[in-house]
Amino acid sequence: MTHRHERTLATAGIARVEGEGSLYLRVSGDQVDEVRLDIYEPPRFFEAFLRGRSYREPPDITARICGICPVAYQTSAALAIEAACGVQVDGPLADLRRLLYCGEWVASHSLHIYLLHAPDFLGYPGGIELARDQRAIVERGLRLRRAGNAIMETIGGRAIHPVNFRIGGFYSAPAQADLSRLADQLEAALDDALETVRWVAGFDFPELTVQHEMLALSQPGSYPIERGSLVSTGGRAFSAAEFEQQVIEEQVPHSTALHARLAGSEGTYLTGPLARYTLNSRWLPPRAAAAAAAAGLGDSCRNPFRSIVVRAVEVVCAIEEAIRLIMAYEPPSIPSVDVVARAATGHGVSEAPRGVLYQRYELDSAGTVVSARIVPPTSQNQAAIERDLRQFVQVRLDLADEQLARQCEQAIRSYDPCISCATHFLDLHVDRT
Amino acid sequence: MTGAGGGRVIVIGVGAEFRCDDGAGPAVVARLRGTVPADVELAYSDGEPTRLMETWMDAAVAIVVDAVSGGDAAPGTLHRVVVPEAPAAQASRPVPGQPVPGQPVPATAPASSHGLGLGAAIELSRVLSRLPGLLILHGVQGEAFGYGQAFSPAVAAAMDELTARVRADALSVSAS
Repeated sequence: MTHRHERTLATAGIARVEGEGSLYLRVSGDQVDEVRLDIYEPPRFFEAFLRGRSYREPPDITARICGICPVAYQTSAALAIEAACGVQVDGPLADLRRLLYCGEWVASHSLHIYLLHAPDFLGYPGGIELARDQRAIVERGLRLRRAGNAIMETIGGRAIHPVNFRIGGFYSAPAQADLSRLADQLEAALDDALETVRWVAGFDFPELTVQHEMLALSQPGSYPIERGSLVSTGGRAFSAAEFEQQVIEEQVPHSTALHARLAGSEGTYLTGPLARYTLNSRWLPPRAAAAAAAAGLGDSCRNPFRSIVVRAVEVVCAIEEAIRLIMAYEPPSIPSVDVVARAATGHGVSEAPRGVLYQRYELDSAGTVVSARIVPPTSQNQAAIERDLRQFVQVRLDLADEQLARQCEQAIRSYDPCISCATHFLDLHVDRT
Repeated sequence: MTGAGGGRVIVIGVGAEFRCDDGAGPAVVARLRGTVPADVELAYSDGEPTRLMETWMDAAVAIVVDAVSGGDAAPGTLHRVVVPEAPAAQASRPVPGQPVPGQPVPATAPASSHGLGLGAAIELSRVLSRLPGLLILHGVQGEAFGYGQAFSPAVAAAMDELTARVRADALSVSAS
């Protein structure tokens, strides 16, 4: 290469805070040499911040990592610490946790579907322009999101950083009347959710089939949400305690971020809605299963663009589950079980809206956190997204820079990477030589 | 919860408390607690636009406090924008999603995957007729947005004055 010049094609986005997140493409002639996506900054700060804290604090602290999925952080943290202490929260308290988590799925997926992902398929620059033209549709999405938030407020005390969640259960259990009021709202939300599946199923989806091994939780008998063991399309099956033996995070030459792979495999893997659906579609509740079938989803889904359909089906699933749990609800005799600290290490996994979220805590005998490890879904997916983008860009090199930037952003958006909690700005740099 | 003109008055601190200067908004709200009349609601927000919209949608007056990045102002500079006085949204924006004083509230083009910001909340509210009667934005120019709980020296030095200005606005619209 005799010379290289770098052009900044797009500085797009969204910034709670500027300066992080970029997509870098290096192209030689008609060959994509390098794809580097710097979208995720693992929550190492929080791992350090948690050391020396009481074992009761991580659910509250980790909930502040992400405003979109606080329940996922709380739940994985609680599972890990309870496991360390030899406690398994079960029965009505576990049902309440699943109900709370359903609220997060509904709220998070609805936001992504209506304001972030759907505009790409309909030719709008964003959700606001969609709202301007198709207000009734966006209002439906906002009603759904409100229903999800209502679950989180009723069970968790509030939608952002729920305060009622604790190690061992909850500070207080909701009254039956509170949940009955929720049920009425959720019955209406179920209609909106089913309509959402019909709506997104009619979009035109670019062709893209990914071959990654897929990793998700398994909760035999139900669609995995708030707990489970891990399974993969490659036939792996392991517990949360084996996560760090099975998932290897390592430095790669072209990136400052750690890349994850599954042990014994050089290939990338994917977690999130596609993986959850592919590994667990048979466990969808009846209305969600029927909606998936009517939308043309088979037993599996390997096109990231169609993840919007999977998310819509998962919204139906979460609302159905929430209604079922509310109908069966009887207030627990105590809102939480005792969890006595001991010197041990525990591991917890749950299905955040974006995929598997793993946490590990090592405690001393006084219950002080000695070490903590957090592996969120986006850091696991980063390598897979880069690999898919390489394939995606390779067949689009004849596009003008601006159009290429736009299509790359759309492709990235289909994975719903967790940018909000860590990365706030996406620049696209293309070196063409 | 009624203001002088009738209707709710709410002060919303926007930001993330573990991202240094980004925690300025929530910190101001914490400082206001107990120092403003009971009819002034205090709330926190992570800035997610639909929740922000629903927090202010039926308020007569909403006062939003947030850290600001981008633009040429020096760290610690305080800004105040009254939204109805701002021109209609335009595409030009130094830092998308964040209001920059003296310039229009930014339009939004969520070209990234997440992080719709305060600008998006305002525009979405405008499109859906959910803006409060009066929306006042207070901003402090930040410079440190990494992980941590400490403000940069410039922002730390500006917190008293920022809090005083927000309190003054709240008192001027409170019915009490």
